[in-house]
Amino acid sequence: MTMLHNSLLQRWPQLKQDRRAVIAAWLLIALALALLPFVTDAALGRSWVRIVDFALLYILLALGLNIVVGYAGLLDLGYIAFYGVGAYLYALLASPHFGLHLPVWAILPLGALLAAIFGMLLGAPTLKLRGDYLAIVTLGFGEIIHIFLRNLDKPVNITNGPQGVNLIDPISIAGINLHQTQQFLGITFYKDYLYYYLFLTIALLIIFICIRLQDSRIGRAWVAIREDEVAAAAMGINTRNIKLLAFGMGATFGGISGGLFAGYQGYISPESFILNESIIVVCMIVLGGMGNLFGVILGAILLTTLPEALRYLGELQQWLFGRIVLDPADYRMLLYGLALVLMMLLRPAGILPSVRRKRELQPTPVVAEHEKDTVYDSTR
Amino acid sequence: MTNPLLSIKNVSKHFGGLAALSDVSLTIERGAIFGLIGPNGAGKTTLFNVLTGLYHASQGEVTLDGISLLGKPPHAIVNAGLARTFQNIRLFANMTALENVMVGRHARTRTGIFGAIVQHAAARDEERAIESRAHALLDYVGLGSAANQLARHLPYGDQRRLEIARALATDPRLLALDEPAAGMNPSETRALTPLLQKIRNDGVTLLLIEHDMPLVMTVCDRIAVLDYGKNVAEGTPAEIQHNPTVIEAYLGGTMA
Amino acid sequence: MNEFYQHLINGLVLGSIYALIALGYTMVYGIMQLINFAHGEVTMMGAMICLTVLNAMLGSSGMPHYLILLLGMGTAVIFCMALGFTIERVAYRPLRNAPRLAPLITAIGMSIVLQNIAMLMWGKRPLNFPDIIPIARFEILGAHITNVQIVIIVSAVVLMLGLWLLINRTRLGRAMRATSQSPALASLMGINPNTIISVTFMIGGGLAAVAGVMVNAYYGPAHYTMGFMLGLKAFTAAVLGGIGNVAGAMFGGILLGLIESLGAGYIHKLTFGFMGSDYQDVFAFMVLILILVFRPSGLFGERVGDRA
Repeated sequence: MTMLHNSLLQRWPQLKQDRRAVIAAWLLIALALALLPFVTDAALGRSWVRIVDFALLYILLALGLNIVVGYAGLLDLGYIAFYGVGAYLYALLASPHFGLHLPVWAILPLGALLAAIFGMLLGAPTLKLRGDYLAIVTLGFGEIIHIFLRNLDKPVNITNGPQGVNLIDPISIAGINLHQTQQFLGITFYKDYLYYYLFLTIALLIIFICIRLQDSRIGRAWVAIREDEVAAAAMGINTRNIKLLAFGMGATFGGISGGLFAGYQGYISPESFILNESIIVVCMIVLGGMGNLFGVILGAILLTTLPEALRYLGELQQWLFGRIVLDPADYRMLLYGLALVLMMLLRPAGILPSVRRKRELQPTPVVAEHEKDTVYDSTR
Repeated sequence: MTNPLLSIKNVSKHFGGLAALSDVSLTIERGAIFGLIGPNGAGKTTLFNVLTGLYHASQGEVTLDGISLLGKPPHAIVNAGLARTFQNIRLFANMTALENVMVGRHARTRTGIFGAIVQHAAARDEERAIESRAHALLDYVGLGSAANQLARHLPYGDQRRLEIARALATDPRLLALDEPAAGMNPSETRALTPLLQKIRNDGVTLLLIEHDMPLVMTVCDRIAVLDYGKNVAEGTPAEIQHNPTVIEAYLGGTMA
Repeated sequence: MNEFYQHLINGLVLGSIYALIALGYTMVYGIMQLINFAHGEVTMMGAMICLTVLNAMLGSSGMPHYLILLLGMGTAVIFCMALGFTIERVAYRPLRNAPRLAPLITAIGMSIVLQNIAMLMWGKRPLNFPDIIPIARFEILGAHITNVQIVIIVSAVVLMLGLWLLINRTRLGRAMRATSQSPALASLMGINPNTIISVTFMIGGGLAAVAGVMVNAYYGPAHYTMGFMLGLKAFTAAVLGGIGNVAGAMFGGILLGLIESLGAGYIHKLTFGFMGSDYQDVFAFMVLILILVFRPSGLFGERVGDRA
C-alpha cells in the first residue's frame, strides 16, 4: 500500500501532465460516483444509501457555512436557521397544510431567496460587531427562529407548532416522482437512489460555484477581510457589503438544502433545526479544515457516517453483553465536543487544511495585535 | 494655489477630553511630495486616520479635488482617490505578494458574484487585467521576483514596498505613506527616495509621514510640522530647517 | 393580588440569579476579552453536584436539613471553582496567542462536552430539588414573596457586595484590575497574569455554582441542558451592563430579569393576543441583539464593542 502510494507520488507530476491519465482519472471518479448507491446498497444495505443522501445534504450545508466561516472568517452559530427557513418554505408550499402544491423548481429558488433575505436581515445590523459578539448574536437568532417555528401555530396556524408539517410532497422532476421506484433501461432505481443523483448534481454544482468564487475578486475580498479588516477597507473594499454577501451566499445554500431535506424526508418539525445542528455543521468545517473545500466535504462525510457506524457499537454491545451498556447515540455529541476542543488544540487547521489557513492558524502575535481595532471610529 | 488637490481646513479631533488634533489646516498641491513631521504623539497618524475615514473628525473640512471626504467610510475615500499605507504594516499576511496587490485592484474592478461564477468574457478579461496590473506594480516597486511569496515571509523593507504597491493598485491621486522608512536599513531607505520620486513623476501626489530627516529633507517639496495636534509651521525644507519654532519643538538642534 | 408588583418581585429574583452568572462572563471578558461559552454549563454542573450531595446525605445522615443544604452548596462551589480553573487550563490557556476563532471554537466544544458528560452522569430526565425547604409566604404591596425568594435576593446582594469589596479593597482585587487594564504591564509590576486569570475563572465558577443551586431550588428541575439558556441570558445581562464592567453585570442581570418577567407577563396584551408567554425567551435575545447593534458598550460600559 505504501509502495503504491510512493510510486504514485513520484509519478504524479508526469501523470498530471498526461491528458489521457487526467481524463481517465475523472472518468473513474464519475463512474464511482454514479455506481455509489448500487455498491452501497449491495454492500451495506438500503439504509446506508439513505445515510449517503444525508451526507450529501450536509455537504451542501457545510459548503454554505464554509463561505461564512472559512472564507470570510465570521463565526455563525445560527446557520441551521437558514436550513429551517428553506425546509419550512418547502413544507408550507407543497403539502396539505395550506393545500398548496407548488412544483419544486418554483420552491427551491424561493427558499434560497427567502433564506438569503433572512441572512441579510440578520447580517445588516450585526456584521460590524466583533467576532465573538457576532457568534453569540447568530446563536440568539437561531434560537429565535426555532422558538417561532415551535410557536407559530397560534393564533393563526402557520408552522403547525411542535408537531411540524407532515405529508410534504415528494420532489418530482420532469414528471418523475423521486419517491417512486423507477425503471430505466431495465435498471431499477429506488427512491434513495433517485434522491442521491439529485443531491449529487446539486452538490457538484455548489462545489463548482465555490471553486469559482474562491479565486475571484469577491473571494479575495473575503479572505482580505478575514486577514485584516482595516487594511481591506483601505483597499476600497466595502467590508460590510462584502461580509453581507458572504452571509447571503451561505444562507442561500442553507435554504436550498433545507428545501431538499423537506422534500426528501416528507415531514419536518422544529426539532430538526436546533443549536446542536448548527454546531455539528461548524464541527464539520473545523474538523475537515476551514476554508478548504475538500476538507469541508471530508468533514461532512465523516460526521454523517461515523455516528451511523457507531450504532454498530451498540449492536456489538447487545451481542457481547446482552444489553446496551453505553448507547452510542448518547455520546455522539460528546465526541463532537471533544473533537472541536482537540482539533483546535492539536491540529487547528483541520484534517485537510487549506494551505492558507494552515499558515494562518499558527499563532502569530502580529495577527492578534491587528485584531484589536476596526475600521470604525470608536468615538462616533 | 488656485486648485489644490487636497485641502484640510480647521480639522479637530478629540478623544474624550483630549485634543489629538486642533484646528489643523493644510493644502497639498498636485504633483507635490508633501512631508508631515513632528514628534511622536503629535497627531500625524491621527490626521491620516481622519483623512482615510478610520476616525471621524470632531470638526473641520477635508476635500480631495473639491470632493468632501469627511464622513465618508474608508472604502469610499479610496474610491475618491486617496490611498494609504500603515505605520505598523498591515498586509494580508497569509496571502502572496501578488494576491495582496490584486486585492488592491478591488476598488477599480467590478466583477461580482455572478461574473465570478459564470466567468463570462468581461469577467475573464477583468481577472486577467487585474493579474497583469498586479505583476506590473510588483515590478514597479522592485518585487517582481517575490510575487508568489507569502507577504509575511518577506523581509521588512520588502513588506513596506509591497504595501506601497498594494496602495498604488487602487489608482490613487493622493498616496498617503505612514512612515515608509520605519524599520528599514540604510540601503533600503536610500532606495526609497528614487521610488517616491518615480511615483510622483508618474502623476501621484504624495503625503508622507516620516521620521527619517535626511529622507524628508531630500524628497519633499513642502513640509508641515505638527506638535501637540497643532500645525506649528509649514514651508520648504530649507525654511523648516531654519524655523526657530521647529528647531525648538522638534528638531532640538540635531539637524545641524 | 397586584399583578405588576408580582412581576416586579419575580423579575428581581430572576435578575439576581442572572447577575451572579453574568459576573463570571464579565470578569473573564474584562481580563482576557474572551466569551467563556462554557460558563452556563458550569452553572448547570453546580446544580447537579449540589443535588447529588443532597440526595446522598438526606437518606443516610441524620444531619439537620439546613446543614445538608450548606454542605451541598459548599461542595458545588468548590467543584465549580475547580471546574472553572480546569476549563481555562485545558481549553483556553494553550490558545492564548492564537487567532480569535480558535478559543471561541474550543469554548463551544467545552460547553458541549460538559453538557454531555452531565447527561451521561445524571441522565436525561429533569431532576427535582428535594423537598427540604419549608416554604413561607409573605405579602407586600399586594404581591407574594416567599422565603426562598428573599434568601436568593439577599444572598445575591451579599455575594455581589463581597465581590465588589474583593475587587476594590484587596491586593488581589488590585492585581485583577491591573491585569484587566494591561496584562503586560501588570506582569512588569510583579503580578503573574496566569494566576490572576485562574483566580478569575475560579471566582466566576463559584458564583455560577451558587446561581445553579438557586435555579434548581427555586425554579424547579435541574437538567443537563439548563446551562445553555441560563448562560445565554446571563451573557445578555453582562452585555446589557457593559461587558467587562462588574457593577454593570449586576445591574444588567437585574434589568434583564425585570424585562423578562414584565415582558412575559404583558406580552399577551402587548401583541393583542398574538404572542403568549412561550415567547419569553425571545426577549432576552431581542435585548441582546438590540444592545449589541445600537450600544455595544452596554448601558454602563466603556466602549469595548468596536475593538475588532
